Amino acid sequence: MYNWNILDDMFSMKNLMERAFGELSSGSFSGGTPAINVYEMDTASEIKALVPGLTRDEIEITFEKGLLTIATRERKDDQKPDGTVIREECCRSQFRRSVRFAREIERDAISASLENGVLTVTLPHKAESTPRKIEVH
Amino acid sequence: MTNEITSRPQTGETSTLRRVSMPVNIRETEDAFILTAEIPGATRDSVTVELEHDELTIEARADLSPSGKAIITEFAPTLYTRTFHVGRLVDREKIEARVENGLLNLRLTKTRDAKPQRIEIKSA
Repeated sequence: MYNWNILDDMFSMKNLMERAFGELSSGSFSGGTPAINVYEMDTASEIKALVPGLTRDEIEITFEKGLLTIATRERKDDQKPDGTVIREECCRSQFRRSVRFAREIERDAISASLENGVLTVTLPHKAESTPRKIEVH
Repeated sequence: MTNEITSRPQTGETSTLRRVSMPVNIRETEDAFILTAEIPGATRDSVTVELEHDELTIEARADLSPSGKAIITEFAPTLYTRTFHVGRLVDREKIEARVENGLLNLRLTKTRDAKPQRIEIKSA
């Protein structure tokens, strides 16, 4: 029906350069594992992961002995989309990724939020640095 | 593949953003093309969809600013951008865009020319 490749990319030179240097595969989680950033603040550590297409019910977060694991849950109700596939480069792959934290974490105070496909997990540090007065009896 | 240069004038603002060709899925149904693009971190307001001549350009901006001292950095503030050649297949008045959970979903309704046409064979 068409005499050219439908919905072909129009490549700018910049895009071609980026592709040559592997830019395409970074910055998202289509390769299978989500890209993460980890930050450390005074009172807490924070991990951000790019998880486009996932809802909060599809993500499982566990913390054990300093190891935080983010993983996808098994999806049951995945409906098959209609139509013929023209391009398939993404989305919503299964993954499991763990990060070890050196700082002591207040495990009961760990919290997580999901916004615009970015998962943020906040891990408050244990208040070990607070000065404590010890009485001599 | 068309190797035409499609870059537009760069503003100073975009120079701090990393440009990324985001991955997409495209499906074709009888009356539309359904495009899904990964744009994690981009807000609805930052998304632009432009159909000019034969080209469809989608752009989205994710600020993704750091929260503290960075220990691991695998992503940075990003300008997601990609341009597709759509020829005269897409009806410019009927493009629907939706942003949800870091995905951009586009429904591009086909023009009459792009839909399959059945030709009746007249009996002799």
